[in-house]
Amino acid sequence: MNQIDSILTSEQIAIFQALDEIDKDPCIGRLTKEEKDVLFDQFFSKEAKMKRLQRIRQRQQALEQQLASLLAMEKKIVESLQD
Amino acid sequence: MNTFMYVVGQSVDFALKLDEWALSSEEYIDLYFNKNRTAIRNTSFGDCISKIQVLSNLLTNLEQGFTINNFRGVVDEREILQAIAVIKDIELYNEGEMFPAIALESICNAPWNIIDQSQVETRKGAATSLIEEIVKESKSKRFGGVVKLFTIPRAKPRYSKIGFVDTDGSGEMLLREAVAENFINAQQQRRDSKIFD
Repeated sequence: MNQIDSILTSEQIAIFQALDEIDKDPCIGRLTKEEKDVLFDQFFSKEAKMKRLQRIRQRQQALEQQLASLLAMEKKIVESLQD
Repeated sequence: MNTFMYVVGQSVDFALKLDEWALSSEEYIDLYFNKNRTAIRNTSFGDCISKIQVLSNLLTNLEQGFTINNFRGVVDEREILQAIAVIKDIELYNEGEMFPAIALESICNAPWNIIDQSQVETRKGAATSLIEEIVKESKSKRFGGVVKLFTIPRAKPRYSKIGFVDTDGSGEMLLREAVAENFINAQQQRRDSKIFD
């Protein structure tokens, strides 16, 4: 416990406890139990996994194009140094 | 308490981050729940999974009225995304007077902040730091720090303690201008304190 903690009031400690509980589970949103169930099942569906895979492949392709561009730049500079 | 950096809209690939969260969640189910999905349904971790899916859907389903520009997050010192929120600017009415506010539509902690087993990525304080930054954004937009959110009955007392007031009994709670600064100060005191670290 530091110096600040030794002067905390019980009201402040109660606020800290509430903030701590919110951090563990914010409980914000309008989803009903039924909606949560549907989303939970959707999360594990083949369709959702395919979409994740598609996004990852798109990012991978973009990075590969960037890498190819960097390699081409590197080659040009090396060649110009050899001239 | 940990410190975080606020990230906004297009500055982060939220869709890819949500995919990373999804993969981590599946790893935790395999590792800690013996691949049994049923065991986590209707738990905090199960709700986290539902929210990861709803946020992914919001990013791909534009007719729901949200875009990447509605997304906010906090990242830690290693730039790992620790919590995500979806917000929108709204107008509220009180006794015939209109005032602007930010509606906090949804907030989701990273899965490693939800499961009981602590991970190397686990960082305490992400969700409240994100709410704090949204209150600050409301102030910077000259909305006076006013933030509206919707919570479940059992969480209402927590939000009441930090200054939110119940508006109509539906679960809608409002942080008014007069107490917005108190909330920001409480977070700073908590950051300075070590009492719950």
